[in-house]
Amino acid sequence: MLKSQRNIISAIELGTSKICVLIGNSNPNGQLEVIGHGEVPTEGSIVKGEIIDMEQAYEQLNAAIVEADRSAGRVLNHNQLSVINVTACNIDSVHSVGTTIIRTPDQKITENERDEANQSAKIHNMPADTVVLHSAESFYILDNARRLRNPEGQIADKLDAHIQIIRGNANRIENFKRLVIDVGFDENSIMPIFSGTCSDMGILSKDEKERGVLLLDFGAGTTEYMVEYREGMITGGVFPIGFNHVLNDLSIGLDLPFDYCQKLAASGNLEKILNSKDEKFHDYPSQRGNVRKIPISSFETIIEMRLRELFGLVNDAVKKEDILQNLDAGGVLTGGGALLSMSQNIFQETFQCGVRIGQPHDVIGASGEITSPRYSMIYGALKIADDQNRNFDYSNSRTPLQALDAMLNRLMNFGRNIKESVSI
Amino acid sequence: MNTAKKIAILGIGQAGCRTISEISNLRQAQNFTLFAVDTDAHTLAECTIDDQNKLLAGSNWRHGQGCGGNAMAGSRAISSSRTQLESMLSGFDLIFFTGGLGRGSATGGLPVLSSVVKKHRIPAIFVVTTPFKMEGLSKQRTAEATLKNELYPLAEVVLALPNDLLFSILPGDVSLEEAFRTSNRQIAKCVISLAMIFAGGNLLPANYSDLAELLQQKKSSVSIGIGLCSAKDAPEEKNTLLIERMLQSPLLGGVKKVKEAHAVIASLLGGQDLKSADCLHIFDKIREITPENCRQIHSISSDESLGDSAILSIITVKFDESNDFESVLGYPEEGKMTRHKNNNAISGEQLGLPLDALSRGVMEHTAATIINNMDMDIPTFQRYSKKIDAGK
Repeated sequence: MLKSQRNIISAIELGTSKICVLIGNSNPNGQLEVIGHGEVPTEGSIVKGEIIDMEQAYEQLNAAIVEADRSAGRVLNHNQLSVINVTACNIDSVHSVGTTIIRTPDQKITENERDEANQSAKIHNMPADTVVLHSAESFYILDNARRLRNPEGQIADKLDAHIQIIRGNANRIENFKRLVIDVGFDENSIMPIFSGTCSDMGILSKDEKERGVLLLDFGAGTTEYMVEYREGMITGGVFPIGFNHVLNDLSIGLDLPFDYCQKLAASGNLEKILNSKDEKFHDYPSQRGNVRKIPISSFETIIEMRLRELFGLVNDAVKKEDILQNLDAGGVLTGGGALLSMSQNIFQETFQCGVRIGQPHDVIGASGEITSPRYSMIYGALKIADDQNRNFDYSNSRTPLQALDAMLNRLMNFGRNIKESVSI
Repeated sequence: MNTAKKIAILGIGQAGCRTISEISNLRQAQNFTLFAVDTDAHTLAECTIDDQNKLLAGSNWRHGQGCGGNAMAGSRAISSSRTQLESMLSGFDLIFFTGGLGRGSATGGLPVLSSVVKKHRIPAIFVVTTPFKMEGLSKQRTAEATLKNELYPLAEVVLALPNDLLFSILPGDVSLEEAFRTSNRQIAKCVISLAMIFAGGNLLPANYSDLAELLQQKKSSVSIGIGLCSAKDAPEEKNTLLIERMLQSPLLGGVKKVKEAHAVIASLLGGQDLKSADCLHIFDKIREITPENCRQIHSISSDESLGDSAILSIITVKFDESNDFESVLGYPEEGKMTRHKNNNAISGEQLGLPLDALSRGVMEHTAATIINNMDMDIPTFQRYSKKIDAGK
């Protein structure tokens, strides 16, 4: 049970390229402070966002926790709240509608009616092997006519709550939880949250969520997308295709070792190769001592074909919602793949909107090195843990899932007091 | 202030350079900058434009001897001259690229040029021809693969014109040499009249975005018709003659193309005496020919140099609504079975196995990511049969 309020919180990212642990100091009277950071490369234990070698991942997670403890100068208590990122696992979001008839004497909608409509929306038929990760409110419709962000205080006969349910494969999600429990965390202290939601919390501004934004987290193994409009989640999902696919394509197409391609990308040399003005060939020293001249246009072709295909898939998924034209804040690209300028250009061409690179910008604490787009997701997870710790009334005995839903909805709906109404 | 757009026309490869030579002989060419790029020194020497506007690509490697119909060599040669191409093309508002697909320099070089203009964010229109059927199926397939896998995904506006359309008007006894010459001449007329649509002085503009937006649905077939007429030809019936000549234009493929079009871009270019009644009459006629739900984009421009002449050009766009088994230009794809539509009997064509092995690399021992019936772990370029030059 989530019994008492704690100041030390943590976030765990079980990513394809790295297992990362952040420790934060959630001071109720101050701001979130990052006090510890541990990171270990996964070296193949997690592929395309899914754990394929539990033992190796266990060792690496332990090592990351030890490193985080060392940098924080204290040992992380395993009963303390920890948010873990979950991705792949066939995660997608489904739109669900719940209806309630207003029966109050003055036909005024109160928090009770709102909760009733939300609860009814969460009853959703799902395949047996699928489990709900969490849900988020999108908007409300009153009397089949008016669309509102916040229905409370309005007079109506009928209230429809439109929510997004984020769901995934039960067993695969359980794997993530089991790994964290195995290293010693209390089952009731951990919260699995969809990685896209974490990135959303980590880097999007309130203004962007209000105006409408498409967030794309281009990670090593997976690509998560989220669409926010009028501070409500419209759609989200994940494709198990990431920057490693780009590197794998380069490795196969140009006959280069995969490690070499990884090093090119990590050192920033790949970006330099693509942007070089004078050089038309990349010199690759082969093992026999020869130098092979690889045309830079070959690099461009391989990367461009993969990125266009991947962003095209996201575009097709988002297009179903018919919302792209309303996203005034444009796009936000984050994750390790966002560091490649070609990703930004192809993003703009695919979605026909401006794009900015999303990265943690309000980090306070000694671990200032987490300001790269690679850490958007885990920083968002830490912010979620912070908010949970700061605002949630733990004495109110609810299940962790209910607690999480309530907290996420609160985070995503800052504008509750804004009585905004849009006719539909 | 000079508001006229700076427009360049670049011909690549043998067919492209010959088209540029034809364009340079046209009166309207003076408004545009012409460039010729090839790997063959002989073809470039024959091109009738200034030597400073010619570029012998990959000269230190191919030594001006062409690339022997090898698209990979063409791509590498054009890539090696990328710096010169970038400085050559910078500063233009719009660039037309023209060339014949199916052999080496243009087939390999056009995708490189599309990445150059993309990098510098210069709007570009690719007007390319695909080989005559008599040139052989392998060339047609090469052209088809380049269009489908490289130009359509990378370039915004691609107008692919099958040379075979010319046979719809050429007499049967025409020599091959004459057929090629006619092709080059017709492409030259098409390119120059397209360029004039986008040049300055538009009264009712059709701009690059119209074309780009229209062709975003990539799978489409395009044809172009051009009609030229002066008041001397038919003082009374000038408008009718203009439309007739446009409809008889070789690369249009007959009035059927207009009747079946999903969208048309019609452009009227006249001298200063262009009358509003003429414009109304001509566009009304076009509207009568086209289907009811056909999307119409009309543009009217004036150019003093035309005097009492007028040019009517039309681009017809027909979106391909067939399934993926059909190729863009209607040629059978390699490895795909062709079936007779009537009896479903398999044709006698012997099918070849793809020679390239598909590899999943480091993803080999992971669960396959199947989306749209494709294994996404296999590199995109392999799935689309794109050849990659790994250098040497």
